[in-house]
Amino acid sequence: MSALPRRIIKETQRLMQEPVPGISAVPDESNARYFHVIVTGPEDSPFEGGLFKLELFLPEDYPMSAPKVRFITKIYHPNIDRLGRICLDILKDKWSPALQIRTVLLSIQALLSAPNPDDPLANDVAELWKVNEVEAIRNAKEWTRKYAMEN
Amino acid sequence: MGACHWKCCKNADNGSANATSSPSPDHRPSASGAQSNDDESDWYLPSRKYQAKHIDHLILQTLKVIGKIGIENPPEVLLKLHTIADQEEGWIKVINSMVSVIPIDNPLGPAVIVFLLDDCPLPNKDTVIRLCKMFDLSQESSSKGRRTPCQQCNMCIILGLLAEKLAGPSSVAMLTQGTLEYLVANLDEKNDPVVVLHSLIALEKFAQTSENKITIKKYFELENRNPLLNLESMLNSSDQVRAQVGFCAQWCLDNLFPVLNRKYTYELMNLKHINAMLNVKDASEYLKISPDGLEARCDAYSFESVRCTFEVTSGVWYYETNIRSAGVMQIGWATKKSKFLNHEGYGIGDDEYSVAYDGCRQLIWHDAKSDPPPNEGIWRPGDILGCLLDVENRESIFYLNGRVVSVTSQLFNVTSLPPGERVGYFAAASFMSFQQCRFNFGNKSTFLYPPSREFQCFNEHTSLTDEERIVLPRHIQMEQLRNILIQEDSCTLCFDSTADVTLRPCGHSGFCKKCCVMLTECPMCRAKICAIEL
Repeated sequence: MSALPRRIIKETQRLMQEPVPGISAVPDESNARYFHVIVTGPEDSPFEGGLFKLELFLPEDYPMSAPKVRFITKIYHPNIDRLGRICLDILKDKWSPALQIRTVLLSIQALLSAPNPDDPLANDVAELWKVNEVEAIRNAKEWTRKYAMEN
Repeated sequence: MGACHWKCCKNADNGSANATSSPSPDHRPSASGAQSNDDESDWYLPSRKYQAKHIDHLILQTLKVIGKIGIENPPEVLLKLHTIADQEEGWIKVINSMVSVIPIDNPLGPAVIVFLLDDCPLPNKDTVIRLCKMFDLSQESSSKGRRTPCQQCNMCIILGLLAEKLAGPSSVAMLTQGTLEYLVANLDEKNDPVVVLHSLIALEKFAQTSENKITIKKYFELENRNPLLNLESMLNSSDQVRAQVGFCAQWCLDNLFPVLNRKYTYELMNLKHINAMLNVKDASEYLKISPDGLEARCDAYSFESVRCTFEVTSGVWYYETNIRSAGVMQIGWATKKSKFLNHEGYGIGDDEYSVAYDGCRQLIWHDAKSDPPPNEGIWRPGDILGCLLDVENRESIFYLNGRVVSVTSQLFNVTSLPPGERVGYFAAASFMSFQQCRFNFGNKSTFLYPPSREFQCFNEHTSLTDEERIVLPRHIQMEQLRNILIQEDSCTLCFDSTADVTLRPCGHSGFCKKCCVMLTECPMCRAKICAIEL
């Protein structure tokens, strides 16, 4: 294992000591740059009641470049594609090294509360979200039930 | 370059809105990769029924193209398979096809399984439970199953991959009594060693979910003798697959399933005579390095790399590696500037600072480009790859079992060094999934194929401190890391240095100079940085 930057050690220690409500981020046992993440679907969103698994990886030049985050649980959302890739500005051009794992995950949780079909990654989902929001939300609820509720 | 760079070509921008990689229904790959039996060019679309023979064919096609070079995008056959596997029904069929058609003797077989599953949406819990039922896993199906060793091996690779990808409740659901019995029964020394190897790796991947880890440990404790202890003794076997089993068993005992009263291997090692080894502090995260620091293995799905401890700046140097597995490894030389981008599929030979030989695909790698070597050089388990670096004559030579495969000067193309500065070269290697080799850095008398020209070897020209010789088990390493205390007045970006600067004009502070010179905008307010004030 290459030497681990103190920044990552510090963030990990803080995530353990002061966890973020509704979000769990646990470093992999053998890879301190890889986090197993679970985000709970926000209340009053079609994702309510779901537990969404994500993977988060801190690249070599973190925090100068953004973490790589991906949904592992299937999700019906206009800004998340079938492979779980997320369309979120702070993960791309709006990244700042002052942002952290916790702020990134909070932003992703917020994205679940406020889908943005005008900046889509999953085009067919976004299309439906725009023309027939009722049906799109029904689909999202259905997928949440089917894929994000293990029991 | 690990072929997983296909995936990264698409993912590199972390999912930008214009990513078009998912084969949507209107994206129709032409039928060029396929043959006459799929004359209906859209048969693979979700609306159609997929036939097993079609899928078998696509998988074999993928196997054929995956070792080819110069493919910048995923081959069309792979895209078609993704489209099929997009639906749960098709996914199960693809899995079944992979189990039955991927041949055991093709070193790229496991790679095909990994690439295919890696880029498919993950199945839900019901589907994986269904799959496990279909696999019909039990103690009985291990010993007198109807399946060939090849099919068993493919099944174990798939189980392991899913166990890792679905770590958590789904992985727990997959590890039924039947699955556990099957995998542990497979660990019998009398079994085909390839099946033993992949069963062991599958158990390791299941153990990534802590609940499973406890279950497996308990199961081992109920056995008369922990099967891992028997397997560990294969470590020095002359059979290359058995030697891999021994390596993995020892790894599991040291890192995952410790046994009461067994000392960690590193505590028993006498490494006084070892003066150069693989550098645990200069390796990508998932590479497994043996407690003596001379053997490395990758069981992750990324392209893992390592450099050795000794730096060469002048003269003629030589080292050998014993090729344990015949798959993709890129072994050669790298400077410190060479980056390990394991998740993107880039390693040694994939930048201008390194050169490497891959005897599976028979390619010399430099700057992420590859050329076939002038002489035949396909490696087989047990072969010896010799790597020679002649700094003054600007040559690196690769030998296979003493025969010259290629002479290249590419590594020395990098010029523009400040006067007086010398480049340091390190022995280095990258490994695709399930690949392993053992390094010999000297003494001279231990080389099997010493080259004819005068050379030196690392072990006779350097030394290590006792502490540098220790390769700690992962969990102990991680624990030490977590307990590091961090000063409160540290830079909030790196936490390495003291926060001692203020940005102008915005006035934000809390950072160190080293971080700020890398920035153009304030990390807090995004205002342009005009000056950094101490």
